[in-house]
Amino acid sequence: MWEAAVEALSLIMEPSRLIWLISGVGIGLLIGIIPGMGGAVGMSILLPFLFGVDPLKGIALLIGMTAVVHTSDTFPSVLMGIPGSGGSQATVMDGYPLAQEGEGARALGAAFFASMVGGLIGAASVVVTIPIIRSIVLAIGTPEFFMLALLGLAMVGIVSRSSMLAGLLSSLLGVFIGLVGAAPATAQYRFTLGWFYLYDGIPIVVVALGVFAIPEMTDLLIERRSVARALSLGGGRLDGVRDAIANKWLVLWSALLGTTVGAIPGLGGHVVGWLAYGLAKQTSRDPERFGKGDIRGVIAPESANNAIEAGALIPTMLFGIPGSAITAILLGGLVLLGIQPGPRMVTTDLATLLAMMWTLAIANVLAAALCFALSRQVSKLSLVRASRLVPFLLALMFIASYQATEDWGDIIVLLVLGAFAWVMKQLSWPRAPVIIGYVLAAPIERNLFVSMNLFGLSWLTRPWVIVIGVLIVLLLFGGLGGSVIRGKREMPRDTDREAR
Amino acid sequence: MTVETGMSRREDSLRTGAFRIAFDALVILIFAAVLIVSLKYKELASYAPLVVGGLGLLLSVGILAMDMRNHISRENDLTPYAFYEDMGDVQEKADSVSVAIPTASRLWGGLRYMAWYCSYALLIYVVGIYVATALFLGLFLIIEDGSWRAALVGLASGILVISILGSALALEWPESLLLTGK
Repeated sequence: MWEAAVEALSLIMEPSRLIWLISGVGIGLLIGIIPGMGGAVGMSILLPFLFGVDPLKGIALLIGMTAVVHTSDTFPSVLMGIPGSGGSQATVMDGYPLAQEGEGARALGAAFFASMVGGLIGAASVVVTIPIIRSIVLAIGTPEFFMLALLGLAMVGIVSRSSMLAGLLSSLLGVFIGLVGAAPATAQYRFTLGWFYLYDGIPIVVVALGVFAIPEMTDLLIERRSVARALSLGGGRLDGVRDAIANKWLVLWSALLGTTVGAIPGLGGHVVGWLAYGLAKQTSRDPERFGKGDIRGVIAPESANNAIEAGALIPTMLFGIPGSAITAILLGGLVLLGIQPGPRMVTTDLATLLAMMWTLAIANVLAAALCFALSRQVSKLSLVRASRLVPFLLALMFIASYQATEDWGDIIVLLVLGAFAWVMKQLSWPRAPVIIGYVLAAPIERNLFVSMNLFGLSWLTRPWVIVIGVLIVLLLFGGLGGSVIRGKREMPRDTDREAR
Repeated sequence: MTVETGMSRREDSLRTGAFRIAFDALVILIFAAVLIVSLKYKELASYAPLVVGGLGLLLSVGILAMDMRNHISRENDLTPYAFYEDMGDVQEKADSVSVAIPTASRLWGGLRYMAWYCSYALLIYVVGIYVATALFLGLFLIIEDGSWRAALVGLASGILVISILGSALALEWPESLLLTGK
């Protein structure tokens, strides 16, 4: 494995790929700075421009971008009190009070350092666990992959922050969108409405842009956020680094928590930020200081939300089950680049998987360095008014969407899906399950078909199939039962953009 | 969390509840259509759509019933997050960072921007991407941002970025009605 790790490092350090990685880091930093954007929107805009690109360059760009969104989203969280993305909500609690006391630079310094170390720990812990996961991946077959995809779908639906019923329905809507076009098992076109454009299915680029980018842009315009309250940075960035080093165990535990939570489908950055914050507060001797400008309230969520991306790659790349909207779009993008997730990732394509981990690690170091070096200049970007920024992004989105199949259908479906997803967002229906359901639709149907062809109905008696099946039933009955007994739908307001 | 636009929280909750019921009904229609259409497909092509349509229909009827009950009891939209309900004051803090615009107001307000998007698409169809983008950026920045200077700068930089992107990545543009090709 170490040989593969060295090979992967040499692959990613090739100058032209390094340029793509640096570009990804730059784009990710910009996206993180704009409150309300987030990795899912950024990735859906980038995806169409990757057709025909060398897979490793594509990986460098996409993972480089994803890895660092949570580093730069600290700027609006600390200086404006507005979470840059779902993962940085908890950072606001103590980061903003610190900035109000003139210690914004200290909070940012601690956040950048914790983010970098969290990202590195996340990547390292995944590499360490690969030999263990490898034996599991190689031991299971098509029926188990089918059941795991179902489990992923059920989990994503059930752990949705809003109504569990709405989460499951969103997953099913995503699967339905994924079923449009040719059926894999037989020569029949489904749900095409006689429209030739739909014969090849709806491209992931259009689905991702419609489900994430359009609703986010629209809400950015509706909210017309005030920038007048942005605070100055002040000094003391190195004090923040010293704070993070002094709280090294908190950084470590938060990063491990982030990696673990990342590996569980459905639990995204919005969850782990608060979990890490809660962990820091509960293990503190003076919890009453939290919420009033305690640096530990910044360090814990920032370390955890950068580590989550590494953990999320485990189910995505090894089992083909994306755990969040970002990884679902990433998975779709990697498939476009010709990279197939699954057992090959721990055998013949191990170098590719390790290249992703190296990319994560390098991107985190680069992002922290850039944020440190350019924090004053970069912080000003978060003051750009939405009404000046969004029209450019919209134009870019339309162009990006059209590149999917170069058909007017791309733009029409983008608008229809965008309007539908925006209404979903307003009514607190989760949108992440839609994209995950869409991505899982094809593997679910294909694996079911292969299982039936190979084993008939006897695959249902395989031990792991039974175990996973029982787990799904327990999850569904537990989740739905609880929801129905309470008789109320738990509806969040608009605090998390990325996960919904 | 407070509502800033003059509408009381209860009013917003009621209006949102009504929108929610309408949306649930739309989802029921979608899954019912999926189920009915799936019945016509060949056996192998129909398994997955039948499951999706059937299960979706069942769950969407369930969510409609719950939303109707909530709407009648005027309780909807006031309950905490499912996942965070045991997290005490951390949940209160999560609420406090949200942007307080009533859902009902947002729904109506969003229609305006949807109209902008559709107009931009229509413009691309009629006059091509360059002219449409110039018109869209200029008009949007003047009307929505109220700044002629921003509009001029935006228009110039927008066209420049599109031109560079288009030539660097050899992008294809949608064909237009008036200007064939571009």
